[in-house]
Amino acid sequence: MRSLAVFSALILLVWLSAIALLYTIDVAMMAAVRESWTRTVLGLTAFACWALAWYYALSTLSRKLIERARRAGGELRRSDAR
Amino acid sequence: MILECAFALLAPAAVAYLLTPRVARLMRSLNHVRPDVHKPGRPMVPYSGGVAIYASSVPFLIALALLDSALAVRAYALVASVSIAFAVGLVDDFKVLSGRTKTLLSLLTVLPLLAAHVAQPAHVQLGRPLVPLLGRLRLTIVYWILLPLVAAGPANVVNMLDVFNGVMPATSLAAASALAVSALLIDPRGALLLLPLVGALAGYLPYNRWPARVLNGDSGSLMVGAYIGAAAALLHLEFLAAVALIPHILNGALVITSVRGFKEHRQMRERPVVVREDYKLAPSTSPTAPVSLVRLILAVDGPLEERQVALRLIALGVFSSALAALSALLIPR
Repeated sequence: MRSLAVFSALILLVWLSAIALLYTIDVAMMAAVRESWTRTVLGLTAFACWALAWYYALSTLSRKLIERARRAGGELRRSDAR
Repeated sequence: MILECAFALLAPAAVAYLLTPRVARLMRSLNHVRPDVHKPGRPMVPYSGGVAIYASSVPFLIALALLDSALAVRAYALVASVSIAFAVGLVDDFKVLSGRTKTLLSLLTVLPLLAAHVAQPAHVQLGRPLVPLLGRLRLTIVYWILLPLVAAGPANVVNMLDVFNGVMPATSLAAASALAVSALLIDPRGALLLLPLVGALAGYLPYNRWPARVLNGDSGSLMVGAYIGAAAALLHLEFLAAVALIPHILNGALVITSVRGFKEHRQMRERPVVVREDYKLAPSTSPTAPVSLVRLILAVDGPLEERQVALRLIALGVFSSALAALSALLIPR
């Protein structure tokens, strides 16, 4: 059941960070830059940075989880052999 | 309104419950069956159960359009969008399409929405999605850049998480229910658009839950995902739909980035999970195997039975759907 806690926490963080991102874009960027392609590019860049940050976080998490599972599998096979 | 809601919810549920076993028998008589690979003996199970979901939801959408002229344009646009996704899925069920072709064809689902927006702007207004704390977003250009993904995105991510018995209808039922409840708070008449899907999935789920008596096929998963995405766009609930589908989106992102592109699961040389001799699922230890949400769940919890993995995926779907409903409460009115 540990996976439920891990991935529920991940989903909660994605949700909170998405709201924070939209709030930041709407309050800061919309106030500072008038409607133009510059604002579109800035908004898309902010979104791309958010998506990229999550991509790296997810990649790191998945690499660590899979590596840990691989080590645990190896230990299990060794204890079976004994 | 209460009578209309009851009709839009209960009639599709009853039809799906009665129709699904008949569709399963028809598919078996056509020898349109697939092995249920996670079960001992790999039993052959009728495929394309999506036909029952489509046949028990779309006629009621058309009935709603005939009964309520204010809803008609949105309902017909939704019917057209869902029908395109269903047709693509059905073709794929009978004649396997490549992952890239299927994804490109699913982009066509946006055309009816766009046509309705252009032809009937008084009835269909796309853009300006509702988000928590802010209300309507001022996405004047970005929305139109991302619009092709509005129905194709959900269609493909729902399809990618359709991996175990009961997961697709149960997680989609949670997402569609959360969106329907949210729409009741924001646009009560618009909520009627989602109720046929909620009803049809509730009537269909008993036949697809473990051990499945019918498999959804891409006709089911692509159609249901497109329905959620298109309805969300018509009701300005795009953010809420994205929240309800976070587990699907996470899984899709993990698979696409690890295999570097849109690949049909049959084209993948390695599987993210392995089925052990005791029919428990374990994460693949190969460094080149695709990464998926299921592989990560198994990496955390260790080997599990199919039903245990499915229950975890459904629990995550229910949790993200609850967050979507909470998001609706946070939208200023």
